[in-house]
Amino acid sequence: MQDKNFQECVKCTVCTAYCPMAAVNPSYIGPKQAGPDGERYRLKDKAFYDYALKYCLNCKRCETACPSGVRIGDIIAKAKLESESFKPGLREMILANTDLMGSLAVPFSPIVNKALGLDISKKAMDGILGIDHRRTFPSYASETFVHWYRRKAARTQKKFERQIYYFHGCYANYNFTKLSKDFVRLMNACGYGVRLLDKEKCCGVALISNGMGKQAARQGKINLASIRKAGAPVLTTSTTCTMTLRDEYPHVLGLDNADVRENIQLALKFIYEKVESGEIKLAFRDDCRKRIAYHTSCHMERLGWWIYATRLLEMIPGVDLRILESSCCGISGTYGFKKENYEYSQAIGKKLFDNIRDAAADIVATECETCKWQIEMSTGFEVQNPICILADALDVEATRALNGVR
Amino acid sequence: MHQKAGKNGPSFKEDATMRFDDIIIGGGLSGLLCGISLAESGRKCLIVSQGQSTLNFSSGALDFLKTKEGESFEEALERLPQEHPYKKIAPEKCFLLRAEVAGLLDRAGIGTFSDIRRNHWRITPLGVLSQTWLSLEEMAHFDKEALPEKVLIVNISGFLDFSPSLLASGLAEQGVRSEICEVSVRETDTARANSSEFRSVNLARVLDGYAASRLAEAVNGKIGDCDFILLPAVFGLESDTAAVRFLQMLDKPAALVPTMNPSVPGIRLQYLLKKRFKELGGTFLAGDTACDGIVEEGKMTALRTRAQGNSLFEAENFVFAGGSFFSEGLIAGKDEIYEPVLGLDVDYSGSHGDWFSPDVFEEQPYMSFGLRTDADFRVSLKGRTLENAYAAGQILSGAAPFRNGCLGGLSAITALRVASMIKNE
Repeated sequence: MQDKNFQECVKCTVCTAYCPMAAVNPSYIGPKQAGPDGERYRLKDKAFYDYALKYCLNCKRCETACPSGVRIGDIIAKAKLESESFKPGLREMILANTDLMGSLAVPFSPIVNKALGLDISKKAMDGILGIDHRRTFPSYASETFVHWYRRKAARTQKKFERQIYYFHGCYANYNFTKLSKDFVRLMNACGYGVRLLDKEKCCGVALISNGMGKQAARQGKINLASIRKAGAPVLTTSTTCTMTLRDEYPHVLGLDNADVRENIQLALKFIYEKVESGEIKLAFRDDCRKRIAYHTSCHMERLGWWIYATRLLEMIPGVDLRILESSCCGISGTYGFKKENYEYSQAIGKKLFDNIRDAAADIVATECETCKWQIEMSTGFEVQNPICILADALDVEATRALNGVR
Repeated sequence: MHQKAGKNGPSFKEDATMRFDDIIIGGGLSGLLCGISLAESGRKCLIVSQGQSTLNFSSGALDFLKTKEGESFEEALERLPQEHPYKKIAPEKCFLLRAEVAGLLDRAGIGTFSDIRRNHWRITPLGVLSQTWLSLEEMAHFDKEALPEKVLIVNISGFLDFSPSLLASGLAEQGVRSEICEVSVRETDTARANSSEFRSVNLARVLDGYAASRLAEAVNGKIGDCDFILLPAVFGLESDTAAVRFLQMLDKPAALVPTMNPSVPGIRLQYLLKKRFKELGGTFLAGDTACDGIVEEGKMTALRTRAQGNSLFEAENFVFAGGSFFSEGLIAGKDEIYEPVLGLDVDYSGSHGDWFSPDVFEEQPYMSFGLRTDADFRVSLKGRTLENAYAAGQILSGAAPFRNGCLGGLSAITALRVASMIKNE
């Protein structure tokens, strides 16, 4: 069925006025022309505005701005997948296959991490692949979260009366396992057992943005089947995975998730709601004296769920929370790693970097992993996921007692 | 109980909630002003905003009410038809509210020009003099008796959203002579790379600091015997400093004229109001759509939005400030006009064919359609007034803002009126 959403566009150009890419790159025609305008022409010929699609960050800020409910970002993402001229090369394969790269890298993580950090390998990746040498790759963990979970946590999860499933995503599995381990610790203290899905594949966001729609759809089907089988809330700690599973699956990949969409939730939303309804009680230590600058990532802005993250952070005694003006950090996943995008990426992020420096906070909080890399690299400030901040500030024993965990 | 709420009845009990003092649906001029006014008195407010508002198309001025030659605002208010929202506000209260709007904008860092007692004149992009009550400081505003003799109309090379010749011919009808010129600097030429999307905002992003001072130099070289300079409003997206500084660098008095949308002054107005609202502790939820609510015993108790799914927002008071048809505060279906959140009572008449006149310059009935409210701007559902739900701005019925010349002013005045009702002033 032909999706007619693009016809809701009234050509007001508001989206282009708020597009972070159009703001720094005068040769980008902007979301209105690349999206709903272009879609009309593409009905005749897929080649229209082809050249412009690669500039889109998929930040979805155009959709948040649109007064008429046009899914501009989705239209562009879909056009990109169907475009003849936008075919993935070796670089795209490497950047987008986070699952595969993670599985290969973790067993050799000390060597891989070292190698990725060397100037010579950065230069080689820059010269041969077109991955900008100024970028720092996130380091790989010595053991995946899933491996750790099976070894250390799986057995104890069943004893909890209440159970949730965890869609950990690639970053919390291969790279930053503190996040996934903190999440298990936090949920356990609140009286919830954490289970893993039958089969979890990468959500596919990087595949979508790098032109590998078929593979993304294959992985999507496996994920949706596992989520259906779970039949219980499936919680996430990554905003981008969440948005992909909930919104890009139906709108870009054409996968129907209507029956399970409400089950897929950011853990922060779930926890806040349970705290409000009294089903979860949190006790914090009182030694957390921190000023936290909260950065609303683009996909969190689109989800509209930052209110839960900030309200939870405000519950921690001693926290002075500053909510930064929501603006794009510029990296947009694999986008900013590409050599030709590096300068744009940094120009887009400049406003956010300045705001972070002005806030003079101790740490920056955000749920998005790639925002974390970008902000840490560009400002030198430490960035943490609110889940880790909550877990670190938690009085585990008191919380367990409050929630009746023995 | 409202039927929609009834339909989902039992399951609602298990929903999670987030509480606020007041919830405002709509993040445009009326929603923001109402929110700021409430937040200034310490109330915890949420604004739910579906997308960017019509402030993005603003002229950079708020019209309070069209007046006849020599007529005071009070006399013009007297003349208004009974259904106009202003009729629900006592003229002396309305006077105070006008002062309050100017004060509130000032506290948000928005420089304005207004006279509480009478209109002044602004210039439309067509060169027509139009009455207005409050102008952003840098926008062209005049006393009709003191028009300039000869104006230099400046455009930026390649900028198509501003037409100097239309402006010139309009001014000529007022007896004002003019000269037209184009200027550019390196930065504006770079922004021109994409000719079809060479917009006001692109210019505003580069016209600051050094680029602006070189542009001013170029303009100063063209002044000749002109005694006033008009330029497109393409300065300052986040503060008026860029505009004010630029105008100060010019050798003759100068001011800005609105461009085609997006409107730079409007975007700035919205940006600064939003900033002020958040600084006061307000929660501004962008890109979310109010879609349903719970009404119990004549009171609205909760709002459901599209993004939050099973989470409800609860509050003591609700304000419907979602604007008119464009902003989807009102929806025109095939056979009915309805309010999409609760299905509130709407004032409208006839069927589809009667809603508009084929001649666009004739009076358009749909422009008077809107929410039915009582004397205190409280909305009603199936004939029953909701005691804690109000409406403000373009969503109100009876305004006919173009005919009455109250676009913007109506939003501001009714928003602050509703805020004062809630605060029980």
